[in-house]
Order: sequence, then structure tokens, then C-alpha cells
Amino acid sequence: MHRTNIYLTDEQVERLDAAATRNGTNRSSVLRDMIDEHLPPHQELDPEVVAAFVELGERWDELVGDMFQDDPDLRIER
Amino acid sequence: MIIFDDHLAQAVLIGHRRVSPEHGPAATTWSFHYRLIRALTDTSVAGSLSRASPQRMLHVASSPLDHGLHVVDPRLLTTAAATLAIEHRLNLLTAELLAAAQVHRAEVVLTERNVGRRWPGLFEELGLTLTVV
Repeated sequence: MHRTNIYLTDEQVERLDAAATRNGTNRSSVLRDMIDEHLPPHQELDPEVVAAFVELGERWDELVGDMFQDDPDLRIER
Repeated sequence: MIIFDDHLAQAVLIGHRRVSPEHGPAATTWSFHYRLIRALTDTSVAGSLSRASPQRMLHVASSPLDHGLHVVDPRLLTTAAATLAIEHRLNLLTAELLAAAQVHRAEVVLTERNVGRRWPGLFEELGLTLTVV
């Protein structure tokens, strides 16, 4: 773990403390959760995998479009 | 938070659809994420792709947060989803989607084919934001 100092406005501190109270935690925990949420670790993807997803996206209606229409929980009633 | 359907969620996974920090994070519901995983698990889908990499695609989709896609925790939506389902006669996917938008005050972005017949009216009635791309 690294200790760091940052500058926050009075209003930001109030909101941070309010979030910590709601979550039953502390300022550091709230800030760590926010960083994990908004700055997730970046993973480089293999161009082949990206190309496969691009193709899937282009052919989505053809390959997946009606896949779930027989499932009462997952279908979209068009 | 912006909630995407399964079709758009895969664009988020490969970085082809981004959400600005002030509108983020990019998310999808558990039901839409399940549909994506099921599609990738189906050999008839992955096997039809010219550059099929089914295992690697499944690996990416199975670790969405590593690729910038949040899956909204369905446990936080249970009560809201059940209430909406009863009030509006909704299935699980629809109730979860509306509950996610309601609880997280999130905008929902869907492809045209993934818009249910009654959804535009429901979104308007509930004061929720729906964008169709």
C-alpha cells in the first residue's frame, strides 16, 4: 500500500465523508473503490480476438438475434 | 453509469465503445452479460466466425471488469425488479434492466433489435433514459 496526500474542496470532503458513512467504511476505502471502478486495469487484447469480436458484432443479428426468443426469462418481446 | 445491451457490451470489452468518466462507468446487466456468455459458449456462434477464437473470446467476456465493463450486481436490484415485474408484467431480463436503470439512475443504450415492444413507453413512464443506436 502507498500513502498519498491529495487536495479536495470542502464540498468534496463532505461528499466523501457522507459516502463513507453510508457504506460503513472510511475515506480511503471509498476512494479506492472509486479508482477501481473508474480506472480499471487496462489489458491489451490480441488483435485476432478484437477482430473476432468485431465480426461477431457485425453478424450479431444473424448469429445471435433470435437465440433467446424461446426463453421466457431472457427474450425481448418485439 | 451507462448500461449497454449484450450486443453493445462486446464493443465495450474491446475498447470500441467508450464512456467518458463523467458519464461512466460502462455497464451491462447480469442478464445481458449471461446472454453474451451463452452466445460465446455456443459452438455454432463462435464456430461461424472466420477468425474464430472461442476460448479467448470467452475468456475476455468472462472477465468484464478487466476490460472496462461492469456487470451491475443483480442482488442490489432484487426488490426493485420484483416490484416492476409485478406492476408491469415483465420477464426477468426486462425487470432487471429497468431496475438497474432506476436504482443506479443510469442511462440505457440499446441496439434497435434489442428494444422490447413496450420498452419505450415503460422508460418514459418511469422517467428513465433510453437511447437506441
